[in-house]
Amino acid sequence: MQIKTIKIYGFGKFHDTTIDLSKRFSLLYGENEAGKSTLVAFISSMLFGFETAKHRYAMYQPKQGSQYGGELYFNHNQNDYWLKRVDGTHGGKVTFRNLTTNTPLSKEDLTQLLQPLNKELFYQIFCFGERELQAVFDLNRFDLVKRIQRIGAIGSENWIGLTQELTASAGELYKPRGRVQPLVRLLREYDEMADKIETAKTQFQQYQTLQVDAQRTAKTLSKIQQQLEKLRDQQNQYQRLIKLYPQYQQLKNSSPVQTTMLISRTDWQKATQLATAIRQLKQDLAAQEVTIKQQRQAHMPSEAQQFYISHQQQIDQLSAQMPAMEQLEQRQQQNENQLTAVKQQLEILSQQYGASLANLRVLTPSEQQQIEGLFDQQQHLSIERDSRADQRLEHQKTFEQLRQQADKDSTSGMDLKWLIGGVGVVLVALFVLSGLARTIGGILGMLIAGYGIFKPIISGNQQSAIDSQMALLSAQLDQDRQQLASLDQQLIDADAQVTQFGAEHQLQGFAPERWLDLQADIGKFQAAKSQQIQLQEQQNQVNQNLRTFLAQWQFAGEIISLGGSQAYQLQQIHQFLSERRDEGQKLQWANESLTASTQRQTKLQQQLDEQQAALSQLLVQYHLATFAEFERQYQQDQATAEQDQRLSVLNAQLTQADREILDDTESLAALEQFSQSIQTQTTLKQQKQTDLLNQSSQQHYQLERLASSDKYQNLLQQQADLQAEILSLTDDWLTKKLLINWIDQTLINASQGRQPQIIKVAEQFFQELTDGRYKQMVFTDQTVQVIRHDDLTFDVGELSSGTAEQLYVALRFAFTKVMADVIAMPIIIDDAFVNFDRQRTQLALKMLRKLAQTSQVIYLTANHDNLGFVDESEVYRLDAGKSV
Amino acid sequence: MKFIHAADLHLDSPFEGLQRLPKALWQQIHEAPFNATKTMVNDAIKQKVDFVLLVGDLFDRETQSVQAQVFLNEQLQRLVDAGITVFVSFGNHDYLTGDQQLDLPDGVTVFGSDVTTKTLTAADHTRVAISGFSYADRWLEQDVVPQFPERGSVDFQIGMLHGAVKQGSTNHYAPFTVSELSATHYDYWALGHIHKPSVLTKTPPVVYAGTIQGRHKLETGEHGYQLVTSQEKRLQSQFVPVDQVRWSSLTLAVDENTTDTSLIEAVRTALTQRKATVFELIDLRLTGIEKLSASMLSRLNDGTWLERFDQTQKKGYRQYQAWVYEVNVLPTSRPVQYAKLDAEYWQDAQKTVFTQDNVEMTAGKLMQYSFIADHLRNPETTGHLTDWAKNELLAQSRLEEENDADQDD
Repeated sequence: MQIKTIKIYGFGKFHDTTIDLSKRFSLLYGENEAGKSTLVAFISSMLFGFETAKHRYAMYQPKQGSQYGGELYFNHNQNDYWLKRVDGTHGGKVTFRNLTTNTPLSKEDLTQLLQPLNKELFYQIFCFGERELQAVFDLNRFDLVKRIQRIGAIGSENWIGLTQELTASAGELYKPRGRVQPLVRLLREYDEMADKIETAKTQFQQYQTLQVDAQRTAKTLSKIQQQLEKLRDQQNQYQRLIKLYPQYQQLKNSSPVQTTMLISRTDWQKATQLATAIRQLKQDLAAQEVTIKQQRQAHMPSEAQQFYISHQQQIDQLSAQMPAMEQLEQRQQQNENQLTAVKQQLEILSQQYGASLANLRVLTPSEQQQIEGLFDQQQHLSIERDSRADQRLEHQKTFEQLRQQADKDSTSGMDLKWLIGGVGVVLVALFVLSGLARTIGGILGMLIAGYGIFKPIISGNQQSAIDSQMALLSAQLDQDRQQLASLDQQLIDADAQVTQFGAEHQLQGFAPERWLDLQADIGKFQAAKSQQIQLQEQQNQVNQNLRTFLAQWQFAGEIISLGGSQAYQLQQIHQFLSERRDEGQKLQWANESLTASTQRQTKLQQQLDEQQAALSQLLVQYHLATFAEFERQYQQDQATAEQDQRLSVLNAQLTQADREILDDTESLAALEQFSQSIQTQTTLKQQKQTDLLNQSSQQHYQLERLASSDKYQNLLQQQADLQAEILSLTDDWLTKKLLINWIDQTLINASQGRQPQIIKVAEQFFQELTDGRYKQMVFTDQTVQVIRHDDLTFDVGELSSGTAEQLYVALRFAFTKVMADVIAMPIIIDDAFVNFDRQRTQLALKMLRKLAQTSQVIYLTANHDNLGFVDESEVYRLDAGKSV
Repeated sequence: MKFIHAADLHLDSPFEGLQRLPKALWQQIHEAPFNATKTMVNDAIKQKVDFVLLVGDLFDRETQSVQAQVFLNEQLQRLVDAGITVFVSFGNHDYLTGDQQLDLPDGVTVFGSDVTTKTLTAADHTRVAISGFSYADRWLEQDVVPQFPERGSVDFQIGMLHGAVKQGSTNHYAPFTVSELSATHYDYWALGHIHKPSVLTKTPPVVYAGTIQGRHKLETGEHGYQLVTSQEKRLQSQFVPVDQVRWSSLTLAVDENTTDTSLIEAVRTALTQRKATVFELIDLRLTGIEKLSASMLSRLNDGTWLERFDQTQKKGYRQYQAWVYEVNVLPTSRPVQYAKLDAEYWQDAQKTVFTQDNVEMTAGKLMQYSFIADHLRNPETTGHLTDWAKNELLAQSRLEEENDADQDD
């Protein structure tokens, strides 16, 4: 490709600038800041597109507001093209045209035409910057060789830069001899972890060993425990034997004395009971005898009693009459009382009636009827007469009244009776009565007197009627008088009869009206009289009887101390008899008690005899005389039995083994000594047991701990995790390392692939640059050598830095030339040789000219000297804006 | 008749490829193999299986831990207590030696180093013969199948074999061929050693129970045990997952608009939408990275982004039931643009540089660590390294572009 013309509308500091580049070699001169880099950017941007906004500074937006972009005229493969690129999307708006064929082309056609280049590759292959070369020149020899070796690859500088970065970043991950890099650190950690795991791993062996140990311990322990058990048994045996030993010793020699017949317990009990009973019975008997003796003494009758007993029949006969006698005596008393009463009665009657009473006799009933008749008659007549008299009086009164009425002035005679009576009453009231009674009496008296005074006045008579009535009444009065006279006569007769009756019956001394009443007293008197006589007779009879009876008691007069009245004597006798009866009773009771006591005594004696017989029998059975002996014998037997018992108990307690031990043992001390030794053994074994138990529990604890410890398992997992981390880092590191390796290899490969062509060109260039001092280059795997014109061979390292730089420049341009032979693109050099001296620069330019034979070369420089080495026609001054 | 076939419990083996986990999650994951085993034992007891076969690698002799041992014993004891017979054959990791005899509970039948046969009568009165053996060493290079006895006159004959299908010339783990096993006419081949559960053939069933709990990123997917039941004359295996943590991956596409925050959001959304039954350990894979900005890409490459995401997922992992443990930026097929002229040189160089030898050589002293050596010797590692290098190159070249543009005046 040959760029013919550059037209800049606006790009960076350029605007409306046209640069003619029709020559194969163009030198663009400008001071610093003249826009050399901008121009390079413009060319690349025109071909490959503007930078995006992402890279703002690489966009070179025009400063003065011109249109962004420009045009390129170029020739490529014998065709002329026109390319316009202005602001637009995706690298700018492109207008592209094949001027030769005059056909419009697209943006894609441009990309196609530039294939396989892109901006990057274009820069890497066809653009040289001062910086780039300078960097190479600053390299040490080794790196320079490396760079030289890899010069045949596209963009090898960048790649090499990348590998350097990668190396650095890989080095940050790991260095084989590093100390601080993460992978190194992790590996160290891993080593430590591996150690830990190795330690932890022994847990398993530990566990197994422990298991075996624990089993062994358990076995030993169980053995010890068995032994201990045995020792304990033995110790128990010995302890027992030690306790039993004295007994054993004691009993060993005393063989049991077996009596022919031991007193049995029942017999002993029986005998004891019998003895007790006998003792009791004896006591009872003694008491009984005392009782009987007392009773016998109490049995003696009194003197009176003895007398009674000796005269019992006589007394009993007499005493049989006693009740009768006593009755008699009572009767006598009664009679006496009656007599007294009768005498009093008689005396009363005598006093009442005097001695005449004794002469009177009681009227017979007929006489009594007679007199009662007389009295009735008398009474009747008297009543009749009274009534007649009253009637007459009535008539008289009426007559009187009538007369008084008829006779007005006839004095009204005061009734004196009433007057006197009334005065009397007042007087009485005045002097006798008192209080209210006096008042009332007085009033009453005065009323009565008044009545007496005023009575006649009250009775008035009517004069007319009165006269007739008076006549009537007068007749009446006469009749009354006659009747009265008859009646009086009759009364006199009756009285005479009574008087006669009285004479006949000696009743003249008494008023007739008392006669009838007198009859009862007469009867009484007569009865009393006769009773008196009768009583007197009885009294005499009784006295007689009593006397007789009492006389019969005279034989006991002294004993009974008879004397005094009959009643007293009777009383004495009675008391005597009563005493005898009591005493007799008492004596009888005493007699009965005595009999009972005697019977009891007999019975007790009988019992005693029985018991004694039984006891004797029992004693005889054992050939013993007394109970005391029996008792003694029993105690002895008992002791023997006890001993036997103890012996048998002891025997029961002793096993065959015990007996053997005891038989073999000389003394208690020996036993104790042996026991002591067992104890010692036991203590030792127990200690061992404790130790084993501790050991066992420790082992089990450890086993448990190991079993439950997930430390190892965790470590394994941690290790795995660490491995993962390490592998991941290793992969990262290796990736980088291999990538470096890959890039490097690619560079070497590419360089080697292009080597023959590059070397051929480079040798030429190197000759040019060194002005023929070196003629040949040799690339080996390790290094690069150059052969001088005098056939001396030099390693790159042996060259002066200037020569080495020249070598690199020769190779670098050779590479570009080789590449440009494939892809014809303009080669743009941005002041690459600033460090070259004048001569070298001249030589370099000379070389570039040669290069320009095949490719367009655009050389930008700020070095004015360079202008002298080229044709003026080839120079374009950037600051001037046009060719010089 | 019913039994459980499990293998490769690897109780004491740690999880690999995890770092910077929250403590609680770390604990949860750490306990996962134990809990998985416990679940299996629970199932065995609940299902009233007749017996349990454990076909090797119950633990690792190299890392044998007391805790794992005690745990295993406890679990086996539970089975024994439930009247379940346990048959154990040891594999290449827990091989049987005289020096370190294991104390498994009484009632657990352990096969010796020679093939022997045990018989038992199941609850349904079927007679079962089980043949097996234990490794006596780390390696067992010969084919053991011929040592297995002829099928006996039992109802079911089962073989227990810890080994791998014969491949190439060197085989360290009791190599066998499937046809060889089929030819025995056994009713079931209970295999161990390969951690991925798989059925090699169905008639008769030749089955890898797989490890009970996946332990690293290569052991993705479900893990558990095989529940084998008799169906008439045949035995049928059914895979039962009991793993407590599952290794998984999540692929997301990124583009030029992806930022740190938007990617965090995208991952969160994806994790939330995902309906996992088991806690998952997730390898985040990103595609379309060529569109990413250089800085974003480099933050993904150098782990800065994941560190930032860790802050997010530390708060949310319980909710997501997942933890992103790794970010893998999938390499782009597009070559580095500006290397076109040198493309063949790049390719040639890549071939010479990304070889296992060169990787090992570059690693240098690091190879002293066996785990690093193992990792680097893994053929996949070189591939990964290549991819990462490419990503790095891409990111660096992008940065370069950007920087160069900035540097100009």
